[in-house]
Amino acid sequence: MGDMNRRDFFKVLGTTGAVGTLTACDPRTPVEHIYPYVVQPEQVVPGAPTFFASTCGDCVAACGTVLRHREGRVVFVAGNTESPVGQGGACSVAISATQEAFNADHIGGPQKGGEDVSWDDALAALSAAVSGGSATWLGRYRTGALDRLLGDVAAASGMQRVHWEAFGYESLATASKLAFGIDGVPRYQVAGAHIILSFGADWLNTWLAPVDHQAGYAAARTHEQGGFVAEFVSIEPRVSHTGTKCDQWLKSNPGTEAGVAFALAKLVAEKKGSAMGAESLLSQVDAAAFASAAGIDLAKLDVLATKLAAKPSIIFPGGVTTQGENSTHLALASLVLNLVCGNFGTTVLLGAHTNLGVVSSYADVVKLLEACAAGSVKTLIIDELDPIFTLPAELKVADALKAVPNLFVFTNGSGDTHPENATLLPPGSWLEQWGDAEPVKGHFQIRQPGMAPQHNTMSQGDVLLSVAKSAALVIPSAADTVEGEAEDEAVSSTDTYALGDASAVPGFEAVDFYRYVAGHWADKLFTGDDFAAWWIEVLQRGGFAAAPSEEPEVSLNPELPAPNGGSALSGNTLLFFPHAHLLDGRTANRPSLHEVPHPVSGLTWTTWAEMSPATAQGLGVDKDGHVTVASGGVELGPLNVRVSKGMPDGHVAIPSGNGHQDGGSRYERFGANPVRLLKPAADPVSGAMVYLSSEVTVTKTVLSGADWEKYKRVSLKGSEDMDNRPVVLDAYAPDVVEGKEVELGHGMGVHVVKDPRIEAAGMSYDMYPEPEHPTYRWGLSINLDTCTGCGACEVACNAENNVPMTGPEQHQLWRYMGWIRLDRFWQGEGENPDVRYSMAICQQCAHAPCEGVCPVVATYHNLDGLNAMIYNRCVGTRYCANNCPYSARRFNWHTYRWPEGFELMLNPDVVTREAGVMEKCTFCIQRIRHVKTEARPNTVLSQDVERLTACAEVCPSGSIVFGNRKEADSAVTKLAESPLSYQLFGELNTKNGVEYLAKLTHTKPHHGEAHGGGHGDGHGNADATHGDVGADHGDAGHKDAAQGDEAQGEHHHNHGEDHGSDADKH
Amino acid sequence: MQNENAVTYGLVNKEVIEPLFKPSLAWAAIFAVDLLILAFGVYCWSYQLEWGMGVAGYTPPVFWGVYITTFVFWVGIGHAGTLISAILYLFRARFRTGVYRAAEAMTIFAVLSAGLFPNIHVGRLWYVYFLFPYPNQRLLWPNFKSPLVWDVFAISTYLTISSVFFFVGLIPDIAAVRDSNRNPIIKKVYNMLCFGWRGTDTQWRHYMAAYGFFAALCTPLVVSVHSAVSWDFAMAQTAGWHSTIFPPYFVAGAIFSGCAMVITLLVPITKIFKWENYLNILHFEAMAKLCLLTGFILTYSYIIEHFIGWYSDNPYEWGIFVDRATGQYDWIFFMMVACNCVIPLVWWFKKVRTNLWGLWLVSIVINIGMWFERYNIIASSLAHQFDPGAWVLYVPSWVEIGIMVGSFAWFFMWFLLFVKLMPAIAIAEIKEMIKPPLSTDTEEAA
Repeated sequence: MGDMNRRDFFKVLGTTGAVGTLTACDPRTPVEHIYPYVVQPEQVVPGAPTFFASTCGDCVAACGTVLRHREGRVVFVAGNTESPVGQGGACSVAISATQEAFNADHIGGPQKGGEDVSWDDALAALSAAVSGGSATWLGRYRTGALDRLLGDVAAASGMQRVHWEAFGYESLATASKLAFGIDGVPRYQVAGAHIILSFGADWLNTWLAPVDHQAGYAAARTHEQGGFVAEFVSIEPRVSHTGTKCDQWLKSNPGTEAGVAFALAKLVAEKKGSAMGAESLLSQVDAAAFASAAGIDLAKLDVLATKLAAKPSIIFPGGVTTQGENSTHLALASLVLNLVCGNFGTTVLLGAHTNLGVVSSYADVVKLLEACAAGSVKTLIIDELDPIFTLPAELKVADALKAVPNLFVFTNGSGDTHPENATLLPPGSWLEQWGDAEPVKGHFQIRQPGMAPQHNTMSQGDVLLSVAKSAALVIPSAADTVEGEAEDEAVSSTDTYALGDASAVPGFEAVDFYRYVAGHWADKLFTGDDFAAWWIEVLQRGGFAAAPSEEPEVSLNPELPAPNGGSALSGNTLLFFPHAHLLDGRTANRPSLHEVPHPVSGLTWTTWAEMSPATAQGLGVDKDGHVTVASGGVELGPLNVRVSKGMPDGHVAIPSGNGHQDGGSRYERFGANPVRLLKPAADPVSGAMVYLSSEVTVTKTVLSGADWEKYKRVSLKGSEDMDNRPVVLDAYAPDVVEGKEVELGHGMGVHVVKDPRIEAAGMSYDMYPEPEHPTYRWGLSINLDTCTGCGACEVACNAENNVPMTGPEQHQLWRYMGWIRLDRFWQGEGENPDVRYSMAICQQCAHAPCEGVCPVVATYHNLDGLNAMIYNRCVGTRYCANNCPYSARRFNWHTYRWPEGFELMLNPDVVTREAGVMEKCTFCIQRIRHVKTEARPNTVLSQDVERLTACAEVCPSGSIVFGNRKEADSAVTKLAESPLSYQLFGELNTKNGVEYLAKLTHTKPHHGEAHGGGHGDGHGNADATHGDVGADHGDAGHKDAAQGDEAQGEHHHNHGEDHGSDADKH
Repeated sequence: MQNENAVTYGLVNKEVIEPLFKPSLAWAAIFAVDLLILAFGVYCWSYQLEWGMGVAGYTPPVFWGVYITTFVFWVGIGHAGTLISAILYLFRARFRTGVYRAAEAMTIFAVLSAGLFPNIHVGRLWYVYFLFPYPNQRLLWPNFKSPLVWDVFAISTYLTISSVFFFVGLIPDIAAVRDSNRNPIIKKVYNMLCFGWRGTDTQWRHYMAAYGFFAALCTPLVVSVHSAVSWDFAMAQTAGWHSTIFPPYFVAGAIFSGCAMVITLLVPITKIFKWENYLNILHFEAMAKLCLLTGFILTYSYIIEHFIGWYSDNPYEWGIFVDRATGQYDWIFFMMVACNCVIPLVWWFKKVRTNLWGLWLVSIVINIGMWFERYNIIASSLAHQFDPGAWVLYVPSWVEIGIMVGSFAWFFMWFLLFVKLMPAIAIAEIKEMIKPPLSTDTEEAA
C-alpha cells in the first residue's frame, strides 16, 4: 500500500466502487449497474439540468421553447417566456415532443422498401434525382432559413415547391391577399378585445397560434389588467373545444357562417355609419336572408352588432369544422367584419402578420397528385407530410405515390405515408435539430438542439445542403435573393465567430445547416460589430425580435367577388373537427397524447362520433354505445358515441388524428380516420380543402364479446354536470368589473352556519392545531375562468413526474394515472353552454383527510405545507385515497412500465413507482427542492417561483400561479385574497393550499337557478338561516356573505389571521 | 333440553363423540369439493400477487371493494359466536348450551377468514408488517391516529382472546374424547391438548373460574371489535361513511348476520349428526328471535341514516343516499333492504321460525343481504364521492369473486375439520343440564 496515496485510493474507489457495489436488499428489484461519467463532458454537471432555448417545430405557431437537458437528453419542454409567440406557455404537443425523439417506432435511419440504407446511398439517389430537374417538394409550411434554402435549391435546380398542411390556412391567406393585397395571414391579438367573435376556428387549441391566443384570451378575461372582462360569442354549428369557453353560442346551420359574418358586418356598418370601404360589398348583403338561412334570430345578431359597434373586438374566421365550399368567403367576411369594427392595427395585425412562408392550396396538391398518378412527376420529396392519411380516400393518394419513380419521404417512421417505393429519410425530432423560424413577420426564433440526435438522422436543411453540394447546384443570381443591402459589414464579423466557413449570404457551401442558419441570421438580422457575442445572446435568449413593423393602413379592394353566404347543409352532415392533441394526426405516434383524456369528451385512445341527445336517442344508442358512420361507400366504425349538448340535431361530429391504417407507430392504430369519409372537393376561390360537405349515414352497431371489450371506452370525465355541487363556482362578470359585491356560484354550495358563541368563547372549530409552516406554505391559484381546458398541464405533469401511461384497457377502469384530473362540466344548455373546467389536483390540505388515516405514515404534512409522499413506506391500503374528498390520489395497480425507449425521457429527479404504491401531486417537490438548494443559505425564496411547478410553467393562459402563501405580497397570496377566490369544498375545512378563481359569466344569473332539482327546500331554509347569521357577523367575511358559505368565506379571507391566531393559541 | 330424562351421560358421549374421526364418504366428497374451491381462491390470490392489484376490478376512486366488503362480512359473522358463548353465558341463557361450541368455532374460523382480507387487499403484501408496532432500527411506528391500526389491534386481540376462550371451553370435552377413544396416538395427542385433564374437583373449580374470567374478558370485545371496524368508515370523511351511528349499527348488523350464520351452519349439522336431543327447534327459535331483534335495530339504523342524510341538507350526504337507492347500484340497495329488512319479517310467524327449512333458507337470505349491505356502504359511497368529476362505476372482477368464494371454502374447510376433530357440542355443559347417573334428585342436578 506504500505506493498508493490518498488520491489513488479515491480513483480506485471511484471507478470500482459504483460498479462493484451491488445492492441486493430487495430481490424484486432487478440489479442495475450505475456508471459515473469517467470523462465528464464539459458544461455537464451530473444532476444539474442545462437549459437550451429552442423553437417548437410541430406546427406553424413555432412557439419559443426551453428544453431542459439532463445527462445527454432532453427531459422536459417548456415555453420560453421571452418568446413573443406563446409568452412562456407551451401546448400539449410541444411538451410531448420527447416522445417523438425517444419513440421506439422511430425508423432509426434511412430506409428503402423496409430495408436500411446508408445516408450516402440515400443522398446520392436524392442528389441524382434533384439534379435531373423536375423534382417537386411537397411539404409543410416552412419559414426562416429552411424556407430560404428551399427557395435557393428550387431556383438552382428547377425544383417545384408545394407547401400545404391539412387544416391549412389557404382560404385566410387568399382572403387577406384578395381583400388587402397582403401576403400573409393576420396575427390575432386577443388581449385588447372586449368582444371576441369566432366562426368556428378552434383558436384556443389547434388553430394558427393557440398558445399565443390563450395568453391574449387570459389577458382579455382578467379585469385587473384591462378593466374589462371580454365576452366571447361563438357562431358555429357545434360547440367546438374553443367554443366551450364561449359566453354565448349562436348555433348556425352548417355552411352558413359566411352569411352570418356578412350580415353582422352590414349591421355593424349601419350602426357605426361607416363601412370603411366595404360599402359596395355590403350593399349586396341581405342580412335578414343570411340570418334566416343560418337559423339565427336577426334580433340576436342585431344585439351582437350593437356590441361590436361599441367596443373593441376581434373576429376569428372559420375553422376546420366550418371549412366548406365557400371558406374563402367566410375568411373574407371575417376580415371585412374586422375592418368594419376597426380592429386592424389593434387586435388584428397585418403588418406583424403571421408568417407561414409559401402557402399552396389543397387544389395544388390534388393537381400534383394527378400528375404523379399520370407518371409525369419523376421525383417527389415529401417533407413530414402524411398525404395518404390526411387526404380523402377517393384521391387514391397511395396509388398516385406508387407511380412516382423517385419518391423521398422525410419521416421518422410515423404516419401512413411510407410506400414501398419511397426512400424514407428520418429528419429527427426538432429537439435534435438546428433551425429557426419566423412565425410572425419580424419575430425570429432560433431552434437549437437540446441533445445529440438519438438516431441516425439528418435534418432537411442538412440533406438539402448535401444535395446541393453533390449535385453542384448554383444559385442563379445570388444577389437577387438578398433582401437587405447593407450586409457587407456582416461578412467580416461572422468570421470572428467559429462558424467555420459561414458567410454573410448563406450559400450551398455552408458546412452544415447550423452554419447556414447562422449565416442567414447574420445576413438578415445582425447589424452590430461583434457577431460572436450577438450570436451567443441569440442562442441564450432563443430569438430576436426585429423592430416592430409598421401596421399598414388597410384599404379594402373594391373589386371583391359578390358575397357568398353559403347554404345550409341538410341533415346528416359530417362535422369534422381537429383533435385537441393529435391535430391532423401528426402527433398520433406519441402515446402521452392518447393517454391524456380528450379535454371535452374525456375519451382516450379512440375516435368517437359526437351527436346530440336527440340524435342518439333516435339511433337508440347512449354513451356506451357504438355507431358506424358511412359515406360514399366508405365505412368508419365501430366508433364510440359521445352524446353532447353542444351538437346540433341530426349531424354527427368526428375528431381527426386517429385511425392510421398502415401506421408506422404502434400508437397510431387506434380509432378511425374520418378524412376517409370526406369528398374530394375544393373551395373554388382559394383551392382549400372542403371539410364541411359530406353527408353521412349513421347506424347503430351492436358489439359483443371480444369486440365489445376491444372497442369499449369510458369517458374519464365523470359526471356530465356538477349535479348542484359547488365545484366550479361562477360570478357575474359585470359585477366583478364594477367592483360590486360578488356572489360566487349564485348561492350554490353547502351552507355551513358558524355558531357565534363558539367564536365568542374563543374556541376553535378544529380539533387539531394548524400545522406549523415556519417559512413556506406553498400554494397554487388556479383561474377557472381563463383555463381553457387545453390539457397542457396534464401532459406536462405526466412528463415531469414520470407518471406512467396505462393504456386503453386500464382506462376502461379509470386507471388513468395523471395527477391532474381536468374535469369538464357541461352546465348549460342551448345558447349558454356554460362549460366549466376544473383542474382537480391534490389540494395540499393543512388538515388533510389522507394523512390521518394512513396506518404507516406514508403521507405526512411537511413544514412547507405539502402533503408529502414516502413511496417506500406505502403499503397500499388505499385508505388515503378513499378519504380524499378531491379524489386526487392515484394508485399503481400494476407496475406500469414505459415502452421501450421511453425510459430515456424519464425525469431523473423523480423516482418511478412500483405496483402497490399510492402517488399524487406534490407541487413538483423536486423542483422546489432544487430551487431551495440553489438559493443562498438562509434566503427565503420569494421571486421567480410563480411558474415553478410543471403545470404552472407550461400553462399557456397563465391560469396557474404557484407561490408562498406565507408571503403577503406573493402573487398567489394576492390572488387568494381576490373576492373571486374560493377553496374547493371549503366547507370541509381541510384548509387547502389550492385556491380557485371563479369562472366569470356574462349571463345574468337568476338567484337560485343553480339549485333547482331536489334541493329547493333545503336551500331555502339554509338561505334564511344564513341571512340571520350574516347580520350577526357584521363585516367578517362580508365579501363572501352573499356566497352563502360562511365557513368558506370566513376561512379564506381571514387566512392570514387564522394562521396567526392559531399559532398563538397553540 | 327435551327428553332430559332419556339422555344420559353415556348417550351424550356416544352421540357427540361418535361422529368424530370417521369421515364418511359424503364428508370426504364435500371436503374435496371445498378444497377445490379453496384452491381456485388460492390461485386467484397468487394471480393477483403476480400481476398486481389491478387484476381486481378497482375503478378509482373506488379503492376499496369486494375484499373489504368480505372482510367486514367475516368480522360480522365472527360476532355471534362470542356473543353466544360469552355474553349469554354470563346471562345464564340456557339455550346457548347446545349452540355455543359450534358458534364459537364459527367465530374463530370467521376471524381467520377475515384476517386474510387485509392481506389480500393491500398493494404490497410484503410490507404489511409495517402496520404492527414492532421495534425497529428506523424508529418508525404506525400512525396511531389511523383506524386501520386500531383494526390491526382489534382483530388480533379478538382472534387471540376468542381462540383462548374457545380452547379453554374445549378442555373437558377433549378429555372426554381422549377417554372414549382407543387409538393410542389420538389418546396421546388429545391428552396433550387437554393438558392431562382429569376432572378433579380442584381442576373444575379453577376451570370454572377461568372460564368465567374469559367470558368477562370477551364481552367487551363483542362490542369493541365491530365498532373499531365501523370506524374504518365512520372516521373517514367520505359521504355515506362519516356517521356517528356506525358503531351500534355495525354491531347490530354483526350479531344479526352472525346468528343467521349459526342457524345456517347448525341446521344441517343437527340433521346430519342427529343431534335433535341437544339442538332442537327451541334453540333455533331463540336464535331467530335474536335475529329479529337485531334486524329491527338494523332497519332502524338504515332509516335513521337516510333521515339524517336528508335532514342535514348536506348535498353530498343526501346525494349518496339518493344515489344508492336510485343510481347505478340500486339493485344492491334493493337486495340489502329486501334480504335484511323485509324477508326476515316472516320469522314473526311462529310457523316459519319453528320450521327448519324456514329457518335455514331465511338465514341464508340474511347472510346474502348482509354481504350486500357492506358492499352497498363501501362501493356506492366511493363511486359517488364529493367531486362529480370522479364518479365511476365499479364492478368486481373474476379474481375478486374467486377470492371471496375461496374465503368461504377456507371457512368451511376449518369447519369441516372441526366437526370431525372436536366435539361440536359442549359435552360437559350438556352433562351439567341432565340428570347425573345414579342420582335420585333431579332438582340438584339441574
